[in-house]
Amino acid sequence: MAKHLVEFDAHSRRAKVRLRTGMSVIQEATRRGLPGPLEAKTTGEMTALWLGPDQWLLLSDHLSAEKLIAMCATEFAGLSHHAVDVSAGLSCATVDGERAPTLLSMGASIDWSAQCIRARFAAVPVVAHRHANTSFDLYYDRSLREYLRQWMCHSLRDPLLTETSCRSSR
Amino acid sequence: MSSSGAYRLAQGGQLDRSRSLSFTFNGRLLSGHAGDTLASALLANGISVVARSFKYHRPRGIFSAGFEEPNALLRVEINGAAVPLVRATMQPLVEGMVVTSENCFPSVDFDLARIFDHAHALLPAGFYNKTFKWPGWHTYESAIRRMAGLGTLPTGEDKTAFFRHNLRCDVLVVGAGIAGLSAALEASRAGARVTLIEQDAELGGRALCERTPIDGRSSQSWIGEVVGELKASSQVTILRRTLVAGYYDHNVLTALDLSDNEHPTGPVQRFWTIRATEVILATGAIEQPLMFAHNDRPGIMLAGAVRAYLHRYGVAAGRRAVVATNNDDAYRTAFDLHDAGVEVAAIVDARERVTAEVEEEAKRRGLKVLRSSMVVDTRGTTTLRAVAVHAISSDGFRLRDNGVWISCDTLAVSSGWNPTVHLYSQAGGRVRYDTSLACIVPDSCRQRVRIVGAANAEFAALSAIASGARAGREAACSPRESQPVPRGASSEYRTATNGIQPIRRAPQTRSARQWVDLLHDVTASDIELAARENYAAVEHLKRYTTNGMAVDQGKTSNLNALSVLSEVTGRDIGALGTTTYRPQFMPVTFGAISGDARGDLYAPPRHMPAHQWHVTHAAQLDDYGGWKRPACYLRAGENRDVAINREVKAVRSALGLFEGSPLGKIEVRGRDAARFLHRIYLNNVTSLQPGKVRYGLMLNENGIVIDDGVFACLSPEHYLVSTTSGNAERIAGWLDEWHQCEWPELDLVLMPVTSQWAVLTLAGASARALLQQFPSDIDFSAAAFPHMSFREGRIGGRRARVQRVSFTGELSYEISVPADEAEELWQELMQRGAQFGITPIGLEAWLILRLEKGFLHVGSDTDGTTNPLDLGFGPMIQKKVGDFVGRRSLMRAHDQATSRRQFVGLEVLTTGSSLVAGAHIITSPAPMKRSEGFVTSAGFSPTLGRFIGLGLLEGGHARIDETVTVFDEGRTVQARIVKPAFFDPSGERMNG
Repeated sequence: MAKHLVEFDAHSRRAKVRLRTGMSVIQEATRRGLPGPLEAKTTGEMTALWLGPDQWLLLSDHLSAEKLIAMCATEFAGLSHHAVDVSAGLSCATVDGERAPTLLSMGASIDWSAQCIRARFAAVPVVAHRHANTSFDLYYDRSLREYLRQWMCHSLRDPLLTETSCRSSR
Repeated sequence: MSSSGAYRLAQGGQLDRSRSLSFTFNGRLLSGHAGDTLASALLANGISVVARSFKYHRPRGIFSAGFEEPNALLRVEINGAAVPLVRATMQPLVEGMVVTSENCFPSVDFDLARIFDHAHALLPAGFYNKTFKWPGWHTYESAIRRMAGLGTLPTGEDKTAFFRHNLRCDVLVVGAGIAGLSAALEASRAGARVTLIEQDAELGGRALCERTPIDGRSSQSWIGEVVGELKASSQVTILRRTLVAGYYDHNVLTALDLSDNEHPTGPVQRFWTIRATEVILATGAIEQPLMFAHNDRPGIMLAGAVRAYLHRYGVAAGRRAVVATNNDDAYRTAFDLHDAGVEVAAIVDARERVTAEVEEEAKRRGLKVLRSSMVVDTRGTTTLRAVAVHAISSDGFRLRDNGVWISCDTLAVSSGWNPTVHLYSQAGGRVRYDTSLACIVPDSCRQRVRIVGAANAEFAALSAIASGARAGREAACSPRESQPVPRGASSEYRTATNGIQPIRRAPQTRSARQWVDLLHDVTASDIELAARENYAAVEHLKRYTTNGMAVDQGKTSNLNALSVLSEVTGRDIGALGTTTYRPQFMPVTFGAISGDARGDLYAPPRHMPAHQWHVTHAAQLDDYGGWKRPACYLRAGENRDVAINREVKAVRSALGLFEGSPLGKIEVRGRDAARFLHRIYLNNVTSLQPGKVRYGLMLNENGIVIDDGVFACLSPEHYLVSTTSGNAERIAGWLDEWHQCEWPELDLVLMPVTSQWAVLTLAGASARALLQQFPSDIDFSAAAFPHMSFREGRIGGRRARVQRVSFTGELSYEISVPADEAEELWQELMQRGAQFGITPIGLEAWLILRLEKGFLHVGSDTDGTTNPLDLGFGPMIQKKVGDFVGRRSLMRAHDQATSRRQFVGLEVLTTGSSLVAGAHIITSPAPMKRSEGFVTSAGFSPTLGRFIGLGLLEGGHARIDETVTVFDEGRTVQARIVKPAFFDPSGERMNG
């Protein structure tokens, strides 16, 4: 099967946990290995994306959300924090291919060279995780999936994007 | 004669002569070659008149070879998509294109509206301001508007696909002439990420149109080598056929892709927003025309344009040419025409002296040079026939002797080159008139921009290259702002100015019009008139005469207008200043600017987790606060009203299932979670026990109600806050703001979880019975799970949070499950609930159910003035222990006034009459009707069999049982004021 530039509903079984710490714990959190601004960090079977000064998105294809939450509870025992399962609320689309930066630049004017980016992409708030220069995971609110799919399909009609493929499981 | 036209030379030009392209112009089938512009193809075919002028409908021909074209604005249709006002000089020739002239009737060769030309004495600048006063402007407006304008918009569906792109780079170079190429090359060699933008399809700029060698070799060779290196660099992005139209703060520039009609898949418009650390403008210069009587005839063309058509397109602009100039540069036109075999009748030079080198070249070719002379008049109608040449005084203001008429069909004119400073000015750069260079030059700018080449009056090729190279190196070395911001435009490379003597306007032999602005038909006498009427400031002059307005923005007229104004007022051009150059440099369509933000992509509609089920079960989806939600579910033969009534009855008599997933859900966790919420809510929070739910109101600092909902205590340090659907994100931000900015000492964490949890609400007397059929660890019995309680557990194997709360007045459970399990649970509830007569409920029925209960709907029943006292929450405030947001404001006398608009219920007394939200409650009877309030929610209650409503009424709490008049669009209805609880006021059903 030909490789698709955009794939919706990717990594449907990926556990996603949003972790937020109290403001007094921020420094402690980064000291304990959570990534800093615009960074992503993979440790063992978990990847952490920086969402804000006191927020991270924890991802894992192998660990369950409950396990990730339990790990947070252990790591931050006694410290102000809250970790919640957002696996069902966040959808993921992959944008992978030579034209990925071009397609992404159509949706937001930000610098896509950072590892982890929060942006308003095509009117949809997204968290982008850059694996490589041409490979990205976009996390977005599941309620906006259909809009984002339509937007991607429209944008892929631009003759500048020679890879006119967009796949979705539905 | 070439197959592509009588004026096509046998050789020369950068065309693919092996590829012929056919097109029609006003119905005539013509042909050209790949590489032609529409203008070059028309010229090659001997088309002299391409358009009619805006005001006087005079015949006009092609005047230039670039974006400055004021005449050849044509309607171009490619593959059925028509675009008006296309510059023939910029439009590549496309096979099968259909070209028509606009602004003429019945044809461009014979235009009846030419009558305005004969009546021109009655139509000076601003004539409509003075003339059409009686009985009023609007009497004439529609007729004038029909006659005005330069083109007509295409009708029918716009099949253009619009795309927006963003681009970031270290160095942006605008213009790929030799200066721009040089700048891009040096910047890329220094390691910068470079973007080079050129409006032409070919890189090289003006050098493509000249024979001038560069660095001892042909310009094509030099360009080829530089472009080759740029293309090979991975650091360089080259955008051709892309025109930079706007330059804004922070080095943000916008550009339009001009290749819109050249895609095989259909018309495309691409709009770029570029953010550059450093910008280099290499935008070149625009040649300026001379002013003399009837200087607008077809066949009169800028001298540089004549060379462009000759060298780039292999087209001779005419058979016998005269060159009129006040500088050396135009001599090249005479030389090149002569060398190409075109007869040059004379070179008419306003100056007394010419540089020796130029004089020698002319002499060698045997060309006749008339010094201290100007073209003062012309003859011809649809083609130029002759020009009148007079000797003039050395200052250029007086005629010296009788002139001679020289027959010719082409007149190449040049009044020197003026830097294209438009983008520099848009960037905030100051420009000034330089007397020695006789042109407007860039001065200084607050942004990180450098301007090079002809755009900085560096007209010599080697100067432009050196200037570009230095700017490229400097820009590349300071992308991290380590270097000082370049404030002033460099003047180091400004060199020869072609010996220009700024004699721009010929003395008059008779009273005849000298055109200044060809596009808007502004003449020198119009400017003189404006000055006499005291519109002598450049900005006033522009508006009064319209000089420099419309689609060409005065690219060939502004300097001449300043020159005439200077002459009339006696003030130097430098002292007069210039008008402000604003975006867009060239017309940009609204479609391109809006891009994909139209139609279905204008705003993102949100879909609920069980959306697919709703769609497949005849849900009528409406937009509610950005969510596509079922208004109702239509059954066969039903209309919306019938369906809504059926759904209301189903809840009251059996069981309803409603999706309320958009309800905002925010978890608050931490040692101080309760303290925090206690300060936020009007209600007491700290007294709430785990497993219990309470209704609460949120106010802003001004005491105004901003949201309501329930909050549940999950544990002493863990709360779940529900907000209204439309306020989910806003309230999350509002809570964060209070925590971070006002009470950072409170130890808690806020976490919005709206999307994670879908909410399916069961309402009706059978709700409990249905839930009890599911395997669950939650005890749903009335004793174990009373009203206003919260339980967490598993239902049918799914993790679930359940709140027993009611918006309908019925026994009701809000079941929250992970969003990806919602549709499955919905289906299961529908299947198991069939025995109880379960019915899916849309939002409209849901709102009627709450209306029957008189429950508040924030946003509908409140506005930006409603406080909790108005809503009857005074007793709740009295019970509140401690402070909360908005409490202080509620102590103000006005907030406590009983005359304020207060929340009431309304029952219609007039049989068969309806009540609508928005209707006013008016004083009656009274000579002057006054609104005392309005209906905030209303609808037909199928349970009660009549229309009911809620409203805000002045002093309403004390007016229970009063009869009032409700006014709506001329209709009045009698209604009785009641307490806002129409159904089951004691709450037996929901508490049961």
